[in-house]
Amino acid sequence: MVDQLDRTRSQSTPLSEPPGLSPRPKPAFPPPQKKPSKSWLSGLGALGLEKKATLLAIALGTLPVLGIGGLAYVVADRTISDQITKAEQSRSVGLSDKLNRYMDDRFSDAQYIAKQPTFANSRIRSTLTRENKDNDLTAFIQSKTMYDSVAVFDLEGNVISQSAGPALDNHRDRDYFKQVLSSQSPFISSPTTAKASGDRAVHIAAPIFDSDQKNIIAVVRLRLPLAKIDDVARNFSGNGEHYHIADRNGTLFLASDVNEKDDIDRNISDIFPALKQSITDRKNNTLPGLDDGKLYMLSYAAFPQLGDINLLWNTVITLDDTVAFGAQRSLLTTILLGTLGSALGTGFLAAWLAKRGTRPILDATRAVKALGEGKLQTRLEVEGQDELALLSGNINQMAGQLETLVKIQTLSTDRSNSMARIVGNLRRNLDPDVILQNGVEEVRDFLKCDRVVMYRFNPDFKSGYVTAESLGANWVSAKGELIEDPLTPDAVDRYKNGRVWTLTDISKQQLTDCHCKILQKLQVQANIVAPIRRDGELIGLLCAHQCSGPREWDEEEIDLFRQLSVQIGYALDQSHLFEQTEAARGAAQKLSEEQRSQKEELQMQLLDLLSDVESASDGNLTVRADVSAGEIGIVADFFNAIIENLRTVVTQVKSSAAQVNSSIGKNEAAIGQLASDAMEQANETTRTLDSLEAMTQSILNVASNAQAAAAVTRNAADQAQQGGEAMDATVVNITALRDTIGETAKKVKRLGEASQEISKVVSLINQIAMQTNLLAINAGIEAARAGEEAQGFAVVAEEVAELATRSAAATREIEQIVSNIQQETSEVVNAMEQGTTQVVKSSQMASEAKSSLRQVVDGSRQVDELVQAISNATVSQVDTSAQISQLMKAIALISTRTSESSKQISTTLRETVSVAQDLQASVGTFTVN
Amino acid sequence: MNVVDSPVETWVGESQSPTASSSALISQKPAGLAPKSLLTLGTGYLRVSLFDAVSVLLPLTQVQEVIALPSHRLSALPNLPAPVLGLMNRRSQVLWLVDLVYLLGMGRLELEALTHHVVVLKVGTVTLGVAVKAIEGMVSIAQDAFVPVPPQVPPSALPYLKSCARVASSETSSALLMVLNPDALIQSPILQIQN
Repeated sequence: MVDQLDRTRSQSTPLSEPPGLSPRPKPAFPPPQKKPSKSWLSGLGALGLEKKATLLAIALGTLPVLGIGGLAYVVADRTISDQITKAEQSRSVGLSDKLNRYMDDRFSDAQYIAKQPTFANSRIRSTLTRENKDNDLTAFIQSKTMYDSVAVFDLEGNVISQSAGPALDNHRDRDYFKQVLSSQSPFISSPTTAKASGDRAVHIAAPIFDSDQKNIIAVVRLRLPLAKIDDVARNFSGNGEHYHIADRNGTLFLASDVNEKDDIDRNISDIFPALKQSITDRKNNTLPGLDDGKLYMLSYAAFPQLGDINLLWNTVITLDDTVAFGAQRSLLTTILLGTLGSALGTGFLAAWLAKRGTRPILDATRAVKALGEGKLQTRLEVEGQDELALLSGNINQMAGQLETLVKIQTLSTDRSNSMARIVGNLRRNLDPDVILQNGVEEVRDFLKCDRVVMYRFNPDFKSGYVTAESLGANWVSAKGELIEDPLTPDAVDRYKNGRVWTLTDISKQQLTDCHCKILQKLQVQANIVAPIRRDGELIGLLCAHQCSGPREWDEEEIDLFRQLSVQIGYALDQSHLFEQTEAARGAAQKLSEEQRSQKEELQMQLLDLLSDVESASDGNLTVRADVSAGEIGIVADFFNAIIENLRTVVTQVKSSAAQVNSSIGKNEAAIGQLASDAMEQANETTRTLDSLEAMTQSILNVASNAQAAAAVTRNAADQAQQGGEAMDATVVNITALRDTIGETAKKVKRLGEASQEISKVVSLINQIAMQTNLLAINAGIEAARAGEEAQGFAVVAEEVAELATRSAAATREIEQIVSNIQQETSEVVNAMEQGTTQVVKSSQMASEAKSSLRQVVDGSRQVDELVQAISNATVSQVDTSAQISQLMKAIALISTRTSESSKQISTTLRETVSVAQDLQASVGTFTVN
Repeated sequence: MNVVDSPVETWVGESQSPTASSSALISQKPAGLAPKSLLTLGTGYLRVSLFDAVSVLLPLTQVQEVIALPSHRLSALPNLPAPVLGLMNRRSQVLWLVDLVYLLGMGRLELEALTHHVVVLKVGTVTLGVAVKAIEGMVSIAQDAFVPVPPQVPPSALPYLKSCARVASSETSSALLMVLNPDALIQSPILQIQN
């Protein structure tokens, strides 16, 4: 079995996956080895179950580990980077802070000296000698060892006092000196190279104010070498870390790295391009950047304002990248290696488990496939008690059942074949003896027994004969023997129902004595008995005997034996039927012989009869036939009666034909008259039809005239309609004219009113002129009364009076004009009113004309309707006359037909006469008397 | 030229039909104003019209003034002689107003006009207002222009006449006018009875 499995495995092409056995891999977990593509699902479906399970298990095992490892890597990387960045930033800020405070202290030192009474107080200043002052300053720099020179200058830049050292020249042109004088406040210079010593140093200068008069009197200057600042900052270098300090302009003046001494006096924005934006914005920042082609962590810090001073210096601390991120990188390497190791381990474990889990299913699949290909011996190894073991057991059981069934089927097919052959042999013969002999031979050959006999019952079922026998070698023959073995009625019934009786071992079964004797005589040890039935009747038994020893008859043998007995019965039925058919055919032959002799006798009698009546065919109706005994005698009697009747009929026909001849001669003339009348009627009808045609034509003329009249009337109606529309337009125009006239009359009336206003004004003027005249007269009276002296006045008065008179004349003219206007206005108004009246009359006339036109339209419409009615009437008249014409034609046709019929009747009558004459002649041939 | 006939015709023709146009307040004729002769009290006369084409002259010596009196300022009084129209107030002086036409017996003055034309006469101490149709103006009449009163003058007017005078009415024609006597007017019996 293992071999088979191995063979099937070696043969196995990739097994197609049985559906439903394994879940399809979800798209969320594609195999990591495979790139996602369009056909990855189908490619996955083509893979074997084992490979799929393995891939899925590996994916499930490794993906989470890889994911967590990646996440841890990212988080750790970011956190550590942040921490390093913050640490660097705090370093740079710390350095700037420290230097700022240091410089602040220096600033305080300068102010301290500036406030010393030695310089500030005028009295003390004047009392102390230069030497005293120099000593003071020397003592100061001995206590503050960072300074290498302290000096006090007057406002012209000349030295007032200085610490021990080479004598200083005039400092008026120094930057810090000018700055202090201009701003009157302390100042820290950018680092410069000292003119005197050549060292690089920072100068701190402060103004000295007179303590009483509060005005600036001198400037104190302290010099701080850069080496001192370097000492302060030294803590911030080493272990891959370097600091860089630049002044307010970004010029580098201090660097801890010996290699970078060349960069001094360069701009730090150029040295560190990555920090350029931060330096411009003076914003603290930390980021990775390049310096001299090497990766550094760059941290920038600006100097903040502290108290009074605002240095605006810049600090950059660089840290070697390998130092900064060394620890981080080793940690990340560890995480990566650990993750990959775990993923590999998990993947291998998962693949092994998947392979082990799928193996039984694959074995079962291969076994089922082998079974399907017909290798039924295939079996599976059953291990354990799980579902897979149950499946294997079921498959094995199924294979065993299949094997058994195939064997049984083969056996039964063999038996069916031999059965069919036996039945064929049996049916080949019709002789019952041969059938029985063949039957027993075949049965013995089939059952491989020692003897087979056919036992035929006598009718009382008490005894019978062995009619056929097939015998093996050396056994007693029973053929032809009378066997007295009475059957009980129960046994008969049993056999009639087709029961088969078997005996396995004669010594072990209780039997009736006689039966037992018979069997012992025939040396029977075991037998099987089946009934033979013909046409449903029990006629015998088919017995198979085993004489060599007891025999166990199996079910199938019994069944076949029964079937064979039935088949023998059927063959006997067939031969019995054949015998009966032969007997029936013999009887039929005998019957036909008798019928032939009878027929010959009849023919003889018939010839006698014919010779008697032969002359009747020649028209002799007086002959009579001899009436003898038998059927022919009856025929002769009938013949005699018929001849007698015929004779009577011929006599009557003769007289009737004579009567017909005379009657037809009378009718012929009347029928000829009828035909000519009908012809006349047809001609008359044809003439009437012509008249009717003429009438129809005139009706059609009337109709067309009526149509023309209707068209004319419709045209008139249209014209009247148009006239009515024109009238409407006229009425509208007249109405508009009336409105215009009304408007004009209103305006003219307003003109009259205006002229009345004018006459009122004129009256007022007249009044004034009159008053003026009166006043002038009064003045004249007064002037006359005054005498000679007032003559001038009198003249003036006269002139006034004259003027008044002229005014009055003018007003009269105006009045005249106004009255003319009023008169003409009233005339115009009158004319307008007359015009309005005429307009109203016109519009009334127009509407009257319109109503007249409407009447015209109505009238023409009525005329149109009437004409239409006339037209319709004529159409119906035409129809009617057409119908009449149709009827007339039908009458003419009928008349013609009548005429023809009459002619035909006449012809027929003539023919009838000739027929009657022929009849008379032919009847004349009969001899009646 | 028949100097007598012409005015007679005028009087006769016009006196019996005293209808007049209401607008003719002042005569169209320039009356005596045309000759610019010196006008004095002795020769000056006031020419007034009584009705159409009939004018009379009043001596300026007895004329105080002429006024146009609105009719509402005339107070009518009952039981007075027919020619008296009523009382009028003139500069705080109450005057009688008399219809001159009626007084002369030549009909009645038309009173429909809103304004009465009044001539204030002063004879001695007596002041009297006479209503006329219109005041035409002043004329100066020479002594030789006076003619005797013609017979055509209505008798009723005779007592009040001083004489008649020919006055040039235009360049070519002249008219004969009555010259009234204010003393006679004031002394009129009709008025006296009442007094």
